[in-house]
Amino acid sequence: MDYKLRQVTWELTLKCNLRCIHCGSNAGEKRRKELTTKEALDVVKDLADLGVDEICFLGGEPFLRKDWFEIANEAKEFGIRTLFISNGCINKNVISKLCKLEPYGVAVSIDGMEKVHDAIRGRSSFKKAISFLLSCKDNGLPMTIITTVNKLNLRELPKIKDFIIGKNIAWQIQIASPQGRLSRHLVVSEEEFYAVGLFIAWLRKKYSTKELPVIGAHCCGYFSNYLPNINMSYWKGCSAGINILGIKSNGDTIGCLSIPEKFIEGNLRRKGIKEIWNDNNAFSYNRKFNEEQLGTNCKGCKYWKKCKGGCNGLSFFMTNQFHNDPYCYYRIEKKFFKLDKI
Amino acid sequence: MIHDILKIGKLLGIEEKELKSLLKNKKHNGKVENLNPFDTYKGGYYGTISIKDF
Repeated sequence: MDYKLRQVTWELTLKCNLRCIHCGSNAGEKRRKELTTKEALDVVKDLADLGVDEICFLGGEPFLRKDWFEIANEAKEFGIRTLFISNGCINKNVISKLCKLEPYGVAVSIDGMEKVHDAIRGRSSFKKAISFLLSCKDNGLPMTIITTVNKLNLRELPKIKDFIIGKNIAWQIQIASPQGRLSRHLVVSEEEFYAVGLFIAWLRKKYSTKELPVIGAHCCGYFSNYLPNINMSYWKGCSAGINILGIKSNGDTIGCLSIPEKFIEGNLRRKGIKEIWNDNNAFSYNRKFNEEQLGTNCKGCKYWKKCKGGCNGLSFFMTNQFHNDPYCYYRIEKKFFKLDKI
Repeated sequence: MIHDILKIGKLLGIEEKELKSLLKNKKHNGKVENLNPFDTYKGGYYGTISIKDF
């Protein structure tokens, strides 16, 4: 079967000027042997040859890489649309370059109002991030706020909502996974996870998308007897190696940047990206998925064929195996709501 | 427990009547509701969404 690569999430550098306590990448210092400018530009060309629609550049802090514009502009020249995820604590000089680039979206991480955001991301980071976000907005850039929910900032959601309403800024809410620097005790409980789903569903019902364009990310799902769809599109199972790919700053290539490094398929210095993508034995956890691979959380579920066990990143870091995501609305309903047995 | 979910829902500002309305069993069995305008979404799902998707 042929797989069409649509989107790439690309860690431009692991270098970061913050040390967020929930950082899943454990970002800080750059990786050894990060790709050179020429190597990165060659990767862009290969991605264009594969027909990639979209590259989401992230880090670390992607704007700390001096050649970020050159790499992103090359993607633009090939007709690939670009998006960025930044911590917003960055020199505003990048804004004029971003305006020139015309990215499809620029996201800034906001994990609470000042006190909580700074407790998670470091002193003064809130003021800098908000200033950057609003300056970008004033310059006409399409802006998004990403909030990664853990036990420390769960109660900040209503305050962030009040801040975003009416600003024409998109809001992506996602669940922090116990990887990188995030301690497991800070991961939300099943009840808190479900309440976040209720919160998003409530906002979607109460406000128009013009007033408050909010969604739950791919870790908020997947089927439910109560909740409407709160994602951007219909969940068809983890897309790692199916139509998405992650590239680390040293050229390591993996189905998704949020799964463990032992699932790296190859390094771009030794193997071309087309060779990796078109390898029949690559990404077997998804490409060769079958019912037998389901974990106990998902085995016997009537949605298994469509869902395939939820987010593999969250599944692995919570249960040490794929296709077993415990953060599932339907599973929680069965557990707590006493629904009929499936 | 469901009691805890309701308690956290209230802490997040969801009014009680809205909570009850949301938790009324719709039995839509996973069918997607209120897809518009998201049914035109062509993004890659991962990384970040854009305001242009709305």
